[in-house]
Order: sequence, then C-alpha cells, then structure tokens
Amino acid sequence: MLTGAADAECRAKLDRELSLNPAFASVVRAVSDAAEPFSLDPVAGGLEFASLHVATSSTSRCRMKLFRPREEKERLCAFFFKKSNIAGSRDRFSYGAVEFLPDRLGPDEIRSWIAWLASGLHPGHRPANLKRAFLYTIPE
Amino acid sequence: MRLDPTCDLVDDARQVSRTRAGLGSGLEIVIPGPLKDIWTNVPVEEDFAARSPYLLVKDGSGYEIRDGRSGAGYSVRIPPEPRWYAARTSRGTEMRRVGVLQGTYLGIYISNACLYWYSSPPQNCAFCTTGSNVGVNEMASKHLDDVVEVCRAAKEESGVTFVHFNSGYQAGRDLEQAAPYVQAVKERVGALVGVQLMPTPELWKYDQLIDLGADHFSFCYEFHNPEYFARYLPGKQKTVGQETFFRALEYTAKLLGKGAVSGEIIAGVEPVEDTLRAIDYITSVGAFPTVCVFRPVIGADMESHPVPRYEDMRPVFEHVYEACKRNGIPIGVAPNIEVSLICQPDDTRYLAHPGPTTWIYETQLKLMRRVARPIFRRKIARRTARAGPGALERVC
Repeated sequence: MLTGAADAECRAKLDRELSLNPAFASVVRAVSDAAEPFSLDPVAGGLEFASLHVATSSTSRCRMKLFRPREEKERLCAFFFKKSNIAGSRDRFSYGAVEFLPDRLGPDEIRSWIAWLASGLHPGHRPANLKRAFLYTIPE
Repeated sequence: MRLDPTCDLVDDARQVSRTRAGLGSGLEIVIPGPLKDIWTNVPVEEDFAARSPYLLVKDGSGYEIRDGRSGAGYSVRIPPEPRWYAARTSRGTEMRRVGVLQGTYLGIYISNACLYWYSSPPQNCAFCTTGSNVGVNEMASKHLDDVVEVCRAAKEESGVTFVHFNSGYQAGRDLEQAAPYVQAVKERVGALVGVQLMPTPELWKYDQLIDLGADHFSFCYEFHNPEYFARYLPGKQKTVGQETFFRALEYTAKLLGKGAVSGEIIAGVEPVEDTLRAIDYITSVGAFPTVCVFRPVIGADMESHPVPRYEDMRPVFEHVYEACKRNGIPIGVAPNIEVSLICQPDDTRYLAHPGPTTWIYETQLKLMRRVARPIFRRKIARRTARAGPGALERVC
C-alpha cells in the first residue's frame, strides 16, 4: 500500500512524474496494491518509494527510484538502494538497477521488485536482469 | 562505531561520503597520539557498526569515543569538511563528486566503473562496491579540467601534497587512461602523484608514466593465498592473475626505489598466516604494505561476511612494523600524507617492540625525513613532464 497517497504533495508529485513518464503508472499501481507499506518521497528526483516495512533495522532504509536515464531514450530504470542513516549524508548504497522498455514491463516483474524492496534487498531475492553498474548518473 | 545523539556531524565533520569508496566509507576521525596522530575512517553505516562497543559522543566543543565495556573515554578530533567540497568547477560540477580527502590526501577515481562490473555474469571483486558507486554517488566520468580544478582547490585550501588516482579494470588500457591526469596534475597543479591501477605485463609503460609525473604506484592484489585470490577476485584472476601484480610491484619498486611503491592487501578474510606472508613478500621487494582491515560494506557481495577480530588484526600490524624495520623501508617520510582508509606503516610505530633495532630504525627514519624534505619540495612543485602527451599511445 502507498501511505499518504492522498496528501496534496504526494498527489502533485505523482501527477507530475506520470505526465512525464506515463509508463510508471503500472509500477505505482502495483505499489498501491501491495500488502507491504511504502511511502513516496515528494522531493527526490523521479519517483522514489521507501519501504516502511520495519522487519529489520535496515529494511526501512530500502528505496526504489524510477527515472528515465537519458531524456532522448525510451528506456526507463528502477534503481534500488539503501539510504544513509547519517544525518546530512546524501550517500546511497546501491544494490543495482533494472532497465526496462515501457511496453515490455510485466506485472510479475514489478511484483518481484516490490518483494525485493520489502525483503530489505536480500541477495537471495534479486530480480532478474539486475544491473550492478551504470554509465549514467542517477538523479538525487 | 555508534553515534550518540549529541554528535553534530553535519556542522562538525566531513560528510560521510562514498565517493571513491570501494572497500569502505565512514566517518573520518583523528586519534591524537605522542608519536603521530592517526587518521582513520570508521564504519558507522553498516549493521555491524550498530553493535560496536564504541560510542562517539560530543562533549562541549570536542569529541570523545567511549568504550561501553570499560567506560574508558578517548579524545578524538573530527576533521571539518573543506569548503571546496561544496564549490563547483568552471564546468559546473560539484567538487565533492570529483574527488574527496581520505585522510590528508586527495583521492580521485578517474574513469568509469571497473569493467568487471559490466561482464555477464559480473566478475567484480566480492568485497568491493566501486561499480555500484560510480554514477550513484560520484560522477560517472571525470573531465580533465574538473580534476585539475579540484586538485588545485584541495592544494590551496586543504594543503594537499599528494593526489592519488585509482581506477578499476579498463581492459588493458588502464595506464593509458591515467596518463593525461598524471601529467595535468604535475604540470598544472604540482603535487606528488600516486596511481593505483590494474597491473600490466607491459612493464615499459611504467617508465612512461613515471616520465609523465607518477611518483608512486600501489597494487591491490588483496589476498596472498592464491585460492582466496581466485575465489574473491574472479575478474583479476581471469584477466590479470596474481603473478602480474607481483611482477609489476617488483619492477616499479626497483624503478622508484625503496618505499615508493606499495602492495595493498586486505586483512581479515584469508588466514592471518597468509597476510603475514604477504607483508614479508611486499617488504622484501622494497615496497611498503598498506593493509586494509576487511569491512563488509553495504551492497557488497561480502556484505554478510563476518568482521575480523581485533585479536587477529593486532599481530598483523605488529608484523607490518617489524617487516618494514627488517627491510629498511622508509615509512612516514613523505610530507603530510595521512591515509584514513588503510593503516599506514608508520601508524604501526605504536606497536613497535622496544629494543636497539627499533631505536636504530627510528633514528634512520628521522634522518631520512630531514634529508628527503628538499627532494619532496622539488617533487611537489609544478614541472613539465619528461614525456610528451600521448607518450604511452605513441609507443603502442
């Protein structure tokens, strides 16, 4: 479930990002339908979902960011990372990213991302096609 | 180490930054001491840090580390963040995303992520997170002019004397990629320049890089035990091999003289006896050992690997001092180079066994520091490279 989805800030962020990248709508729907709780960061670049599942100390640091790596390209990206727990730090601990073409993204794939996020990015639940390194800069 | 809520690291400390941190990133602290201050980078982000007996507390305007087991407190210094971190280069790049201070030297990861991360399946070193760091926390590629400006700012504002370039595997073009950066820093900034690249069997390339301005080489072969090397460093095993590291280390140590080249290893994964053998080997060829204590970094393949025990690590660092002494390796001679991510050989002076051989070695070191001062002053000054631009390419 997506907590705070009705908040004006969250709504505005969703509207803005979905108008730029309508293909993210299926991911937003899947996050909203999930049993585990997630929140949306209204300030971060792209669409950044935080896991609110507090099974372990580090699970709540897990995030998924949806963005378009290159403006001129159709390919989109779901980037998985843990947030720093140090006040003031902008560090992100990368666990990799899945690049996808909008018309080839299936619901099972999206569900595997959400399950991985909720598991605390457990190495045993890595999604297929996960890339560990990138040649582009990931927005903050 | 855990952080007490009294800590005000946003205002007091260098931002904990993963720029150029493959093996570790954490909080930079300075432990003052009578022989020398020790700069170290303390893990604070990882889950194991939350179980540490050490707690950093702000007490008035100073900081102290408290040991929860004994109640003892140790005063430490937290180096402040340099102003240039937040500045931008003429091209608009935030300087902290180009390079960072790791101790008192400037570290810059020069090229796009290590190619081992792009293989399928990936062949990255299991302890490392470099590949997942570039583009996430630092610039995916470093423009030469950005690098020069950051080096200049670090020299002018932070008194940096040493710039260290490193890179992951670049498919045999490792030295060629580093060459323009080495030359530019030497000619346009003026500093001691170190490079840490994948080794090449084409040893003549090292002569060229020295002509361009390289003062130091370090070779990260990580594990002395060949089985551990193969298991945890699949890319290095497949494309380079441990022997290439040894040949390059030996060749450059001969070229640059005692104490100018280092062999970098990780302690706490392979058996301690192998680490001691590594230290003996490195010092026997005239190089100095730089020993990293293994840190299971968040996001690394070895994230869940156990952290080493203090009792196992102490003899390693005692051995570093004894091996350097036995082989007459000059340690702590270069000016203002304090390294936080590894334990420097001269940090191990605190573990020296007292006696006449230690006294003699320490006296020699004192003399070397005095004699070397004008030599380093010349090396730090700006100068024209002996080789021209593209020297490595032309010979190819």
